[in-house]
Amino acid sequence: MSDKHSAFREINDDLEPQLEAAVWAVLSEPLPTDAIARVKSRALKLENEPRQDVRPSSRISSWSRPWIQVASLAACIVLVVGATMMFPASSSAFAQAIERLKNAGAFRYKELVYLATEEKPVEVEVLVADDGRERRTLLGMVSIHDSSGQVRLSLIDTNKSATVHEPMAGLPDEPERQIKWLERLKGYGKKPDKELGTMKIDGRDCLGFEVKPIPSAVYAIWVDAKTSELVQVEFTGMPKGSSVTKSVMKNFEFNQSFDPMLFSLDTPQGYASSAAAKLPALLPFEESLVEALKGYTELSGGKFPKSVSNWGEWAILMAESGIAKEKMTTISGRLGTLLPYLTTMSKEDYDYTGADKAIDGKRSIVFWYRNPEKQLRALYSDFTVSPITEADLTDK
Amino acid sequence: MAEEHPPDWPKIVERHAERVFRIAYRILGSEHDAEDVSQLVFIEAKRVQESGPILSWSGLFARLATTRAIDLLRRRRKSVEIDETHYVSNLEPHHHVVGAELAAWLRNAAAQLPEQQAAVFSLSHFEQLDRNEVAAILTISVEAVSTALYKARGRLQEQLKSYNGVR
Repeated sequence: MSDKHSAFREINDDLEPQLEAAVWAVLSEPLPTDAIARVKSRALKLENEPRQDVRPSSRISSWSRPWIQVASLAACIVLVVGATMMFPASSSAFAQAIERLKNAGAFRYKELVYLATEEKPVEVEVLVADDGRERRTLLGMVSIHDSSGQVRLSLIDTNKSATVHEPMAGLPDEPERQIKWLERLKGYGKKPDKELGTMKIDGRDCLGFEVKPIPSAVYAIWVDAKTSELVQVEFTGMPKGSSVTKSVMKNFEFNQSFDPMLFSLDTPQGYASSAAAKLPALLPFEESLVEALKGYTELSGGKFPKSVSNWGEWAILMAESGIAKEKMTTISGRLGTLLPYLTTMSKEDYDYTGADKAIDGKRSIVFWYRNPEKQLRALYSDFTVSPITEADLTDK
Repeated sequence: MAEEHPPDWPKIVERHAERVFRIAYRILGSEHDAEDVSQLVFIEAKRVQESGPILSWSGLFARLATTRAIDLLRRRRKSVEIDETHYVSNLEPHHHVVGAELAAWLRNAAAQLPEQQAAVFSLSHFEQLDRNEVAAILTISVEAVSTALYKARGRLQEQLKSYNGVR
């Protein structure tokens, strides 16, 4: 037997023989060298990219786009988790639904964003063109995204105003898109994590399938039991403190013929056009948190927000303060950077404790988290960040 | 252990990629899943690098790869709710080779261990590390490693008895 096996014997000499054989069986499996090469290649690409949240094949940059409405928040969360969807195994109804999606052309659907503070969900109408452009309508505001998923034009019908957004430089060849979850679904033909049984949705008997891409996120995908058409996709698992409780995508209509003008990136006639403020350079998590909270407290007279993941309060404060668009964009960008981290952290590993606190000379913890090295770190009300111990949290 | 200073990302990737993948692959037994976990590990490691100095890249990668792979393995098992009867009856024909069957059984059984026991067992037996090395990686005491390993082996051997009974 080889030297490797000799070393193996030393470490495993007190294992029961069949368990030892099982360990040896695992160790005997050849490593796929091409997979290692792919891992290296993908890891090397991280060097020159802005910071990313913990999800494969995605970029933080998509998060620093101008944030607009709370429904965009929900869509962004869907994007984060959608990017990490890892469906195992196979099921025939699920597979049939996927097969149908593969052959679908332009389509539309409705997204319902459920908020803890509202009885009724916020509705977003989404149209997707053959070439991948999107048109999203929310509360009378339209945003048009180019085929890479970037917002390029925002239209407000009530005052006939248009905001033109410059494309962001340095995006990858295949950037993340708000409908990435659906594209992933289209590209997949295997089983979900779990079957959810049956449920009647809008009068249709549906079969449910559950997908858990990360521990904090759950997708429920419902397909028509008779036709295998996609009926509804539900996403739960928002970060702690978010007012969004659930996002539901439904009323899918595929193979649509849309007027190309609906996806035009040119300002329509009769609209007053202005350019969007440029986004700030990306910062790491802690710096983004500090900058976001500094921005908020400057506007609030030193009072900290109730939450860093419920953006409604931030939006109201910024709108009422009348600050310059550039400043608003900077604060929003910093805030947006936090979301993917909060979304992917375990809820036991962080907490925002700044609600009802203010910059008043008393130094106290306003946010703490456990980094991947399991070290506790805290941001204090004087905007300093330092390592802490569990004991420090009892007096936060 | 000194920090690799200044951090040279290509060298770090070159030095650690194979081990990260290997750890994930041994635990998960799936090339696709191991690639995804490896990607997550590198993204997460880069995030850690940006937030402060790294005392041991080797330890960081081993810890992240182990814990993330076990997380995924446990989610997989929990969602599929495999029991031994179901598992054996659903083996693909090519899995009926004894070695592959045992390997698949071990991964399934490891997914049922408490997280720390699973991590200690994986690093000890799949990475062939001694107790001191495992303790350093998981930032726990050597005594805790010994206890976890003892319990993990006991549980696995108990499960093995049930497994043999089912077969």
